[in-house]
Amino acid sequence: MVNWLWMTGGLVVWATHFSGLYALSSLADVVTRADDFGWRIAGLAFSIACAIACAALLVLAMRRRRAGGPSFSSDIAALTAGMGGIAVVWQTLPTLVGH
Amino acid sequence: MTSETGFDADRYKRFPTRGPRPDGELEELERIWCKPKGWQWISAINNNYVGVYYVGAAMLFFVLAGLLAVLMRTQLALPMQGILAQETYNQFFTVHGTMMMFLFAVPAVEALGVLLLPQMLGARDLPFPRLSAYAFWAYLIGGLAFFCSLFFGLAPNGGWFMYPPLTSMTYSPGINADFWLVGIGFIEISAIAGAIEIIVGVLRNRAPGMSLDKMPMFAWAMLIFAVMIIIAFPSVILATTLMELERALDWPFFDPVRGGDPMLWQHLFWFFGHPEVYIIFLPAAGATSTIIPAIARTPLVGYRLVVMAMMATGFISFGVWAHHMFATGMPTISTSYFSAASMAVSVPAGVQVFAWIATLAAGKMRFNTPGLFAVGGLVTFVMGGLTGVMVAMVPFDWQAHDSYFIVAHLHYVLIGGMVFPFFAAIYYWLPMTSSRPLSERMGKWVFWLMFTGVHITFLPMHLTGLMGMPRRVYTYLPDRGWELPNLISTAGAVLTAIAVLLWIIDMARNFRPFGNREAGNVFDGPGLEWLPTGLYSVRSVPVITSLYPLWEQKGLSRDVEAGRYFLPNSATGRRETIVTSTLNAEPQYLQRMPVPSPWPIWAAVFTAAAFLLLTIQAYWPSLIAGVLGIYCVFNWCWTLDRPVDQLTADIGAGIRVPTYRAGPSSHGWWAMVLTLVVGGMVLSLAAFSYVFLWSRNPGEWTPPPPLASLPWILAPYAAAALLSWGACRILRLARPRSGLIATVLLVGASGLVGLGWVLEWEAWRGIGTDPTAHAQGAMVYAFLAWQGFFAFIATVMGLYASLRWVAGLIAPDRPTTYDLIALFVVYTAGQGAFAALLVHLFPGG
Repeated sequence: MVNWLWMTGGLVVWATHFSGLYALSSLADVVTRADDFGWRIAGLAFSIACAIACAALLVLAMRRRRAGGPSFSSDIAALTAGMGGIAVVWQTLPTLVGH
Repeated sequence: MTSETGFDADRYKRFPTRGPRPDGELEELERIWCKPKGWQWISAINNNYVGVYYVGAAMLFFVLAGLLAVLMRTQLALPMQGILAQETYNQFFTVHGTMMMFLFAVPAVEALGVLLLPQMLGARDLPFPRLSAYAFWAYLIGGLAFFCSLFFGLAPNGGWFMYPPLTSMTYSPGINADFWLVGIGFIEISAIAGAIEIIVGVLRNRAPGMSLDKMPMFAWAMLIFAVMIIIAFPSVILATTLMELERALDWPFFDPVRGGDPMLWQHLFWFFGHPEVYIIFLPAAGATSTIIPAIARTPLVGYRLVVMAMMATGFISFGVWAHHMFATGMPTISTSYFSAASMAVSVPAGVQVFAWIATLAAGKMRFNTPGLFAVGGLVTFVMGGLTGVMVAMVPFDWQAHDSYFIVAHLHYVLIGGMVFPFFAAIYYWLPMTSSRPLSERMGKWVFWLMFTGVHITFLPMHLTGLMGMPRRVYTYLPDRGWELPNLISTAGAVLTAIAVLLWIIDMARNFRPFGNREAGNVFDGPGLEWLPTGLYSVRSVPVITSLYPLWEQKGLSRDVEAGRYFLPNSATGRRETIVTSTLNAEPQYLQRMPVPSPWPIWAAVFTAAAFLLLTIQAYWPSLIAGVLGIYCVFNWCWTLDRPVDQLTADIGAGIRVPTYRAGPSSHGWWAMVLTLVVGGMVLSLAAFSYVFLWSRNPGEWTPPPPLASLPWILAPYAAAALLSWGACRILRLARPRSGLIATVLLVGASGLVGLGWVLEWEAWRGIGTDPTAHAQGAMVYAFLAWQGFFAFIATVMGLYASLRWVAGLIAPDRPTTYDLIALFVVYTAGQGAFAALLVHLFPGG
């Protein structure tokens, strides 16, 4: 299980990011407005944390790869971290653009 | 490579073994895995049989649904035609969409998995062949009943996504909608059963040495596909259950007047519905990633990137469901998140497309029929993907929403992403199961007619949609400029139908399954599925050292056929297969496989009958059918988990493994955990529904029962979990009365789960909660109904455990049955506690 979590780490971060943003905007919609400034800043902070997590996973996977660890799982971990990072950054843009 | 299980990989060097094999091994395998005779073909469970039945049934539904499409296109060929009446047209488009999505696309790829995976992975069969047989028969009976509803005017007519309030009792008072709701819920159970089979099969039944980096792309795709089914399909099960409860009992989940919200249906439906597109696409992409290297005669470019892309598609597809809801008035920021995810998912899809193009460029493309279908699918899918990015943009979607542009887009994606690859797969893999391959000449006709027909049908639809023609209209007025594109689309549909007809003729002429020999590897494929096989799958299970074993492991076919690898005989004199570890595929134990039995088929017949009778509100006959179904399942399970004659067995070259395994490394444990994940997903989505409905009208919600009642509800659940755990521990102590005490504890645990449920129900009844008065009460009672269902199953399991103990079938060295029942009871207790905490504490008093 740990190995699977490692390989899909970046995507798990993306899923957490997506769920978090959706929950935040839904909660904001109940409390004030979905695109209320304060809630958007909270969303942005969360997005930055997730992007950093993806970057950290990418660096860790590259290091493990260089240190001669299992190449397949490290490669997949690096690739999913990269893909997760792209998706997180892309999904952060609505928080910044158009408001 | 570090060992995962302690298995010494140096032992692989003993293979291929030398010297002649003892006489009679092959004959024994043939006797044990014998061909069904006469009526036994019905109770056959071998993947070679069930897989062919399954694919055949899926294609039957494809043809029937296609026929409806041709009739609809005929109706729309000219304005103001009266070939189909409005109501008939509504039923046709609903049944067409439903059949294509639920009865063709998903079952077809699942069927392909059942047919191909055992051979592709070097296993004798998938781990639960009776479950495969059950899933197939349930699907066939349910599907035929669903289609036949058309002939009685009872077919659903609310569109394949059945939005309320149109499908509520107010606007759809007949039983048409019930047919959809109950029928689809039932068919999804069959799909989930197949998914569990595939996950355990891919992770635990691979040939020794087939580590993850040597796993065929199709197996990767099927693994991700099956996991996605486990996550996504519970949503449609919950949605259909809630809708049926609303229609049958007037519980107002979707009625805004009483605190419900029709948007909840859309969220639940599309949480399933959009991943379903990728659920359909991924196995087809896996097939394409397998076929393209074979036809280009070169390894797939970017294998690891494609694996990542499939994983990413699997994940991100769960974050795009609301892009079907852009026109519903969701907050702008929320729609923007879904829009971004919808664009992001095109990145992994693009990675796969570029990997296929690069492979074709790197190799030497052969323009045979599978190659043409693979490339034709790629072109069509890319076109559909591009319009997908267009509709992912919210302002454009607002313009194109519910127009023929969307019809064009979704058909491009589904036909390019699934239908063409599926035809490629049929032409490519059919020689594996038939003594004759399909005709190349005719196949090329089929491809060109179908490719031309599809584009002639759907390309003009983009324009028809942009010119304003809405979906789901049975006719249109003249002089709007829609006549010509509609006429062209109908001509294209006729061409496509001719292509399918030619394919049927080709199949009738050449498809000869279940013979003593196969046409073989006519396309020079590199996978294990092209090894010589019998009904026992491969003669001996090879050690895998390459991603393309038939290309790179010289002499493999010869050595496998000569029995020079694992399991060259039947080590225990029964049906069996090797269970290997998840990551490195190291041999762990020998799994005894079940023999053919009529019980799974009868179980499918009676469960289907129970659901269908429920649809027509024949409650007592439905109950009787349900009881008979349970009786059949009892009989099905009764012969499992029996005493073993040998504790270990030689699986080749002196390597001995156990013949029985309990606990987390056993295949049964995995299947139960996956089943419980399905239950957990339904619970999570019910929790989402509860919070969602609260968020619509927080002020209307009433306080829950007094907090003092909560500990009394939680205590029986905690005690049930404790007793279940104790039952397993005590059974393993192997004392004289261990079996009796463990049985008593397990029965007590299932009783306590029931007690917890009764106390919870009493608490809400005590404060006068009425499920028909408001959505809050309806949700609470929905939780109670779900928990009651689980408590009932736990009670049935307790009864089953008692019967097994009475029959002397419980022993400390064979604890699997009790382990699995205990696991189920612990989950049920946890589920009850979670639901109780949620509805008592949120939103609270």
